Amino acid sequence: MGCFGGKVNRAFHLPSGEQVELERSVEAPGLAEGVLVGPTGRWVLPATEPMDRPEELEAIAPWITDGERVLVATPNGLVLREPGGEVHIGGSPTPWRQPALGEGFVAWIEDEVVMLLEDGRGIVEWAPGRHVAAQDRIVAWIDDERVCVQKLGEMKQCTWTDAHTSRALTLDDGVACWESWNGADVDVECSDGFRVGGDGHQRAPSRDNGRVLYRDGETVRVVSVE
Amino acid sequence: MIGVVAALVGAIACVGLGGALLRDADIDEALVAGVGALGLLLLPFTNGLALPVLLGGSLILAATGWLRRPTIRWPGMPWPTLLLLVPLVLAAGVVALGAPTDTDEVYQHLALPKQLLNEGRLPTGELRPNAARPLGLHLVYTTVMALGGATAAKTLHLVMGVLLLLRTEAIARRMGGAAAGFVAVAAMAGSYTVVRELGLAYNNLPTALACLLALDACLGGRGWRMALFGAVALSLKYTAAPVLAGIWLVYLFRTRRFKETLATGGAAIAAVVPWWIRNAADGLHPLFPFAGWEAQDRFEFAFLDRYGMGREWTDLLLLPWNATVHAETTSYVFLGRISPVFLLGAALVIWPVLRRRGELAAAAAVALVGCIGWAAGPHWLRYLLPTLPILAVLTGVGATTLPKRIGVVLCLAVVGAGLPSNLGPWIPQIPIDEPRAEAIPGHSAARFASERLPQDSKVAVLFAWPDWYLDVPYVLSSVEDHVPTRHWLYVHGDDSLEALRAEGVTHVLVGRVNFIHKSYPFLSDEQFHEQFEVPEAQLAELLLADGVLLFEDNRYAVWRLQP
Repeated sequence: MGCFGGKVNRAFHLPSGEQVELERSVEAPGLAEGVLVGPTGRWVLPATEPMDRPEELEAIAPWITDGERVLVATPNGLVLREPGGEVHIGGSPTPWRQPALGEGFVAWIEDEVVMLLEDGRGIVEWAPGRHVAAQDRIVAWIDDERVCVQKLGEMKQCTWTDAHTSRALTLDDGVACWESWNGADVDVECSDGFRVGGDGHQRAPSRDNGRVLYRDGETVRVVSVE
Repeated sequence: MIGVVAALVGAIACVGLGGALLRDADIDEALVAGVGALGLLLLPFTNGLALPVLLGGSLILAATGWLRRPTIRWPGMPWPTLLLLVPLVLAAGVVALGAPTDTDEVYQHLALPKQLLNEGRLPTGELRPNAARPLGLHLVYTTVMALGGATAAKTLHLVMGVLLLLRTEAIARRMGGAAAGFVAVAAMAGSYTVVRELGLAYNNLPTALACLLALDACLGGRGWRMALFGAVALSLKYTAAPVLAGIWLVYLFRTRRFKETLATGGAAIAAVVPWWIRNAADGLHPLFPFAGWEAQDRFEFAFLDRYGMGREWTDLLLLPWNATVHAETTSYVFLGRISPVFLLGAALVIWPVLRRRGELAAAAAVALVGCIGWAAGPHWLRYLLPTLPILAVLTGVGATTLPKRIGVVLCLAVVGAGLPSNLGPWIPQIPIDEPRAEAIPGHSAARFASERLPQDSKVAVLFAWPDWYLDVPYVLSSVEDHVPTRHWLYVHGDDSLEALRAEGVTHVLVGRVNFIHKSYPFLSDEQFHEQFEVPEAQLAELLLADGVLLFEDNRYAVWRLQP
C-alpha cells in the first residue's frame, strides 16, 4: 500500500506497527505482502538491504508485483519477470501509469486500457481509461466519467464519479478506491460505497485487507473499513 | 560534428556580411557586425515564415558579402596565449557537443530558437516574455541550429568567446606589452564566470565582445564603427548599456565632437528600436519584459536585494572586495566567480592610469562607469561580463608595473591559485554519461507532453522551465522567482486557468517550487505570503478543481484542462 511513485526509503507494517528503514531508497517500487521490488533490487522485509539486484530496467512507471511476479513498463514495452523467466510484451505504455498484474492477464494504459490475456486472445484493447488495477481475476479502471470493476468473464460494475485528480487506482478484494472530486475538494471514494471526506483534500488512497491508507493534507492516515 | 560545421558556415557567412559592411576589418569586427546585421534582418521572421529552409538559406544571402571582397584580418595569437586557450577550447568543445543541460540554455537561449523553428514564429506578449527581449543573437543561433542543432549555436558562441579573449589580449598588449596581454587573457581564462559560458549558447560573451570592439573603435576615434558595435551590443543584451554609456562619454571627452557623439549614440539606439516597435505593436511596453507588466504598481518584479551581499552604502563600498573574494557559484551571492587577481590589478593600474593617461585612462573611465552601472543593478557577476574584458585589460597593464619575477608569480597565481572553482567549472558540465539531460527538472514531464499529448495541444509551463525538451507549442515558463507565472496568477486570480484556456492552452505542465521565505529575507511575512505562497497554492487548488491529472513525476506534473 502507499506507493505512487517517488522514492521510498521506509516501509511500515500496518498490523504490527513495525518500521523498516531501507539502507538505500528505491524509486517507485512495486509492493506486495512483505516484498518491495524496484530498479535497485528486491527487498524481503524486514531486511534493510535488497536480497538480489536483477538487471536494471528503464522503468517509466511505478513497478508492480504480486510477491512472485514483477511487471515493469519500459519505453519499449513491458517486461514480466516470473520465477520461470522473463517475458517481453510489445506495446507503448503511457509513462507514469502503473501497469496491473492479474491472474492470467496483465494490463496497462496506452491511452486506453490494454490487456494481454493468457486465454489465447493475445493483446486486446479493453476500454477507455487513465488508470488500471488488477487482483486475481479482477480488473478495474478509471475513465473520464466512471470507475469500473470487472471480473473476467462477467459483467462490469461501474460507478459514476469524477476522478480527474486520481494518481492511481487501488483494488482490494474486488473493491476499487480512488480520488473523487466532490465539487469543492478531493475525497477518497470506494466502489463499495466507503468514503473518506472532511475538510481539505484526502488523496492517494491505497486499500488492502480492509484498511485504507490516504493522505490528508500533509498527514498520512489509515482507516479501517470494517 | 554537423553542428560544428554548421557553426563554421554561420560564422563564415556572418564574417562575409560584416566584412561587406565594413570593407576592411579584423575578423572579430566582421563577425560581430555580421551577427548584428543578420539578427536585425531576420527580425520579421519572428512574425511568421520562420521555416528552417528560409533561416538556413539566409546564411547563403549573408555569405554573398564575400563577393564584395572585403579585407579581413586574422587576430594576433602569441604562443603563450595560444597555450592557455587550447585546453580551454578543447574542454568547451566537449561541453558544446553535449546535450543542453544548462538552465539558461534550456529555458531561453536554445529554447527560443527551437520554438521559432518548431512553430514558425515567435510571438511576444505576457505569455511569452522571453520572446519580447531583443533577440538579434538568438535569431542567428536559429539559422545555424536549422542546419546543425544545438551544438551549432554553442560552437558559434565558442568562436565568439575565443575572439573575445584574443581581442582582450590584443588591447592589453597594445597598452602594456606582451606580458600585459597574457595577464589580461589569463585573468579572463581564470574566471569561472567567463569560462563556464564558453561552450554554452549564451549572449553575455558576445555582448562583451561587441562592447570591447566599441571601446576599441572609440579609442581609435572611429565614431561610426563605435556606433555599429554599440548597436550590436545593445541588441544582444541590455546589460551592455552601462559600458556603452561610459564609451560614449569618453568619446565625447576625447573628441569634443558633441554632434557626432549624439548622432552615433542615436544610431546605436536606433538598432534596438525595431525590437521596441515589435513590442509596442503587440500592445506591450517597448522595454517589456523589463518594464510594463500589467500589475507593476502592486507586484514586485525584481528583487535586487536577493543578489550579492547587500545594498547599503557600506556594502557598495565593499562591493569590489566582496564580489571577488566572497562570490559563490551556486548561490545568489553574486552567482559566479571572477579571479581575485582583478582586485590586485585594479589597485596596481591606478598609478599607470594617472601617469600615462591617454588610452589607458579612457579604458579605466569606461570600466568605472560600467562597474557603477553594474553596481546599480542586480549583483550577478554575469551582468558584469560586458565590463570584465576592460577590467582584464587594466589588470594586465597593472601587472606590468610589478618587477618581472613578481609578475611571473602573479601570472601563475592568476592561472593556478584562483579559488578552486575558477579552474574547474568544466567538471560538472562535461557530459560524461549520456542521460544527464534527464536530470533537468521537469524533463520527464516535458517528454511526456511532447510524446503523449495530442498534436493540437498547447501547453502552459507554470513554475517550470524544461522548454528545450518540449516539442509542442507552449507559453509562459519561468525560472528563479517565476515572475511570469506568479504575475499571471496574481492578475487573473481564480480565473487564471480560464484565461489560459481563452489563449488556446489545453494542458498545463506544472512544477512545485515550495518557495522558502529564507530566500527572500527582505520581504515581510505578509509580502512573501501574498507574492509567493498564495499564487503557488492557488494554482494547485485550481488544477485540482479544473484539471485532469495525466502525469506526475516527483515535483512535476502534466494536467489536461477540462473544457
